[in-house]
Amino acid sequence: MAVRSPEPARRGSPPCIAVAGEARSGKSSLINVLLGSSVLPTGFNDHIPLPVLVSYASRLSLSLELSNGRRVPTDWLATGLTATHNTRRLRLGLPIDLLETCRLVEAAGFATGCDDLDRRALGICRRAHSVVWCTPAVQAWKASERDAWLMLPKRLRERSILAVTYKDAIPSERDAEQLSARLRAEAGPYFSKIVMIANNRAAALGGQPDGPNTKHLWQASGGAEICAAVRALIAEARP
Amino acid sequence: MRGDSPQLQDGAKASCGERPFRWRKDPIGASLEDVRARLSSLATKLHEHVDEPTVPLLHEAQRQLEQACCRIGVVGQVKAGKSTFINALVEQPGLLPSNINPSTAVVTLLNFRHSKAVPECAAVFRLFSPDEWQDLAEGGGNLRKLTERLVPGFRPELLRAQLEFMRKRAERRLGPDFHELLGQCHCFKQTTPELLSDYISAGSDYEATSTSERRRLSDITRTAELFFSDGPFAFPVTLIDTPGNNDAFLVRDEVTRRTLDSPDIFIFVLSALQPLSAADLSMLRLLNGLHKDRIIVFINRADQLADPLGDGLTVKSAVERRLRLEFPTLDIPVIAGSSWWGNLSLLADHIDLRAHLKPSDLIALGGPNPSGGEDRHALASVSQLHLSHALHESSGMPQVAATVTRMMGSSGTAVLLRQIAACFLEIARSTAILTKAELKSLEKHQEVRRLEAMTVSSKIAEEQQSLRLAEERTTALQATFKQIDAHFSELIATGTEALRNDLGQIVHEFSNQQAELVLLSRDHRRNKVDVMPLRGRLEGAYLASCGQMASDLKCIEGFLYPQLQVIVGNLPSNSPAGFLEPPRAPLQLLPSAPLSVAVALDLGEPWWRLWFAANPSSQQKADHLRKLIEDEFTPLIEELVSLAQIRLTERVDYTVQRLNAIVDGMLTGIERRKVLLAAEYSLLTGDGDERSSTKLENELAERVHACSETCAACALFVEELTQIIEILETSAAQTDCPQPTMELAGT
Repeated sequence: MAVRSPEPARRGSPPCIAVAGEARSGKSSLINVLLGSSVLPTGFNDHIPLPVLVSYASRLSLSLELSNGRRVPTDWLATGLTATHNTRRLRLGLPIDLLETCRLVEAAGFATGCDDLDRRALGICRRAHSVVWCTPAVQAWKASERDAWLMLPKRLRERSILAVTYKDAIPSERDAEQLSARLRAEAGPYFSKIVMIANNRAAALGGQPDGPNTKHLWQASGGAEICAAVRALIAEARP
Repeated sequence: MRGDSPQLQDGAKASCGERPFRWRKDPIGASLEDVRARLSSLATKLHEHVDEPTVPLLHEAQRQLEQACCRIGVVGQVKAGKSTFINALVEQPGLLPSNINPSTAVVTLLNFRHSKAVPECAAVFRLFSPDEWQDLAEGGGNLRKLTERLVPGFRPELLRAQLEFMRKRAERRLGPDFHELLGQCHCFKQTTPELLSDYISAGSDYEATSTSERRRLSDITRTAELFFSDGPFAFPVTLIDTPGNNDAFLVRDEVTRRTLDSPDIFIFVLSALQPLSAADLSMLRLLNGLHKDRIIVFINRADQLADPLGDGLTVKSAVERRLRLEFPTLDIPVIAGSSWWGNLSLLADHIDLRAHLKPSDLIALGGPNPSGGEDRHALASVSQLHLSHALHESSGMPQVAATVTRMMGSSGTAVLLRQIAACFLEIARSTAILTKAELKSLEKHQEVRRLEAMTVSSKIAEEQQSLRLAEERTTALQATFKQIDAHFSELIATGTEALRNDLGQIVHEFSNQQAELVLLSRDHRRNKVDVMPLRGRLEGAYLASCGQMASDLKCIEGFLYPQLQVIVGNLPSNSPAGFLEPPRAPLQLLPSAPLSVAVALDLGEPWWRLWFAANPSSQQKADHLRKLIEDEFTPLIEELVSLAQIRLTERVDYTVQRLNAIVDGMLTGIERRKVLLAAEYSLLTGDGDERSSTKLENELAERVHACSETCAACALFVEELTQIIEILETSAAQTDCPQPTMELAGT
């Protein structure tokens, strides 16, 4: 359990799960998979230079939280322009069941070449209950990722997941096996679990589907596995 | 299908030997090769006309021409697709092995020499010597040494585990007696994919079972060299494939850094999926620090974007913007494309392209087809030929080829060719002038002989007197040149000493500053001490100081040459002076390669955390840091200073060599005429007979004939050389004022 959680201030607020990784590693679409709907923008031009906190709200709301704590309603189009030193994060409220049991935060900014962003992202991970670290399958687990990851406390790492994203870019089954063999050897010791996911495909399915055909696709994309793994993390955090 | 699928490699085997170059790009470096060939044939022609002392100079130039070769380094992060890029560029799909895991473990040199002869060896692999292996496998090589210097007595667990892994793997792959292989050099007459995979690929050894029966030697291979007699390059080129940086396997990361200082041109391969991450930027800063400003950025894997062409343009402009921001003084051409497409297009005759492409790619690539559209049937009608052409155009390879050709025009190789051309020009000019002078005197001589035998005697005496004078002056000139040489040497010695002190002072100041910071700071979260600013300052001071020394040398040259012209001009017997011009070639850029050597302070944050923990008190930290910075950078300064010394000495030697060649040429001319005069004189005094008189006359006539021929030939040489230099200067200027940046491949 979290020995030292610097954000226990608000009583009853559900555990926080951070989704982190280098730029364009599929963080946003992974959150969309978890939420079961495409709420976060994932296009090529939609890079958000701010952390996004996703929590429960009775209706959809998006606001910008300033460093003095004030919140200003905003929309996705405006966020690219408003990221400065006095903005803390984006807050997204959604009426989704999963968010009653946890909060999700996207920690933008590893390996952007900006130390300040890196430090912020590290801070977010440290304060989270556990982390889902995204690494793209075709360039998985580089030294810079490992170095950043090893900055985090061991306890936190041990209850975190490595999500190997863009699984569909792996050419063959044999390649997938070789990749996961290397990752087990090189990254395995630093995570509780490694999950491969075709994040874009899973996100396009829009959450756990009912039909037998789509159910199979959902399984194959890795969406089912990541959702189960995250639920296990949440269960562990709330005995 | 993504990446290098097995199908692609099968196709490569099928296509070997009969590669269809339907969309062949222009041979790379054709204009430079033309210049090289012309210079080489000129050297042979010049040889027939020049004096003895100039011959070694010609030989040296010819040797340089033969060995001239443009080195192109392909660098980038691990898994960016460097090897696949090379395969596409050299039009041999499946040549270099590739895999889903980091695959290239060995620096591989691909030598392309255009010749009809098949190279003696197609592949040469050098294995580590026992000492090198000991150093690497037992100790962890450079990385271990750096760690040892940062945190003495500590061996990081990770490195130890990886080394253990590598040692065990070598043993498992090669048997317990693998030590016997160390130090060997393996040559092969033919290159096969299996062979390359054995020596170059890291191999997917993480799997529990290894079914392969072949021996994988990549763990103990130091360098791999491949030789080709055919390829897309007109000019001799060595392509250097490197293991990627930012590799989680620490041992491999070291290999690349060592190869960084030699290439003329760098092709920096990025992945379009994660373009210009921090690791890319730090690598580019390193290259920039090395003054390798001939960098081409290739954004690979555009095929993996959702919208290859549209997103490709977005990525390209984002990368360009970032590069302008980071390196405002550099012009770095950015080309977006896909090596995968490039390889695919080459295989059009062997595979069905449609089966390998996403429908969206087909739409993007098949766009210009008149029957194009989103309709499946329409797509099916996109012909294989059309598709292959579109793939080739969109792969970015033709654009890379054109850019490499353009950059070669201002590379170190082009500068070398320009120097050789300038040297030849001077030789041709001086030969022409000396020969003209000789011709004049010979003609005068013949005339006098014809006119009056009696006056000849006094003429001879007169000429002998003037020759003696000329000889005396020339010898005096020789002595002056020796003094100049000494003066130059002294200048360099004092200059480099000052440089050493300056750089030492900068390091000293920096280390004090950092130590002070450590003392004052109570912030324990400081991650590491960044020595990049120190590198920047050192480089700035180094370049400024060397620039100063170079301009001092130039100043002396500028003062020296007119003086020499006067001295030489005052010599009797129409001595040549016109060709005494200061060297026009600019002083070659000073390499600051030593600054890129990894020092202990460059180690990543995990090591620094150990360091902060290892030194309990602030004072201890400060003291250790101060000593560390000074100890780490002092050897680098020494290297920089000795490099500067070598480079400046080279320049001075060039001038001195030319001066000596001039004096030697003049002395030879004097000697030759003295011999003639002596023969004449002996004839006159009645020692000779009628036969020797006609013989002498014939000799004279022959000499006159030879001289006029040389004069005519030299005039032609001068003309051609002037033309060549113009060509070289124009192509260099084209690179300096770059064309507007290229559009995305295929749009």
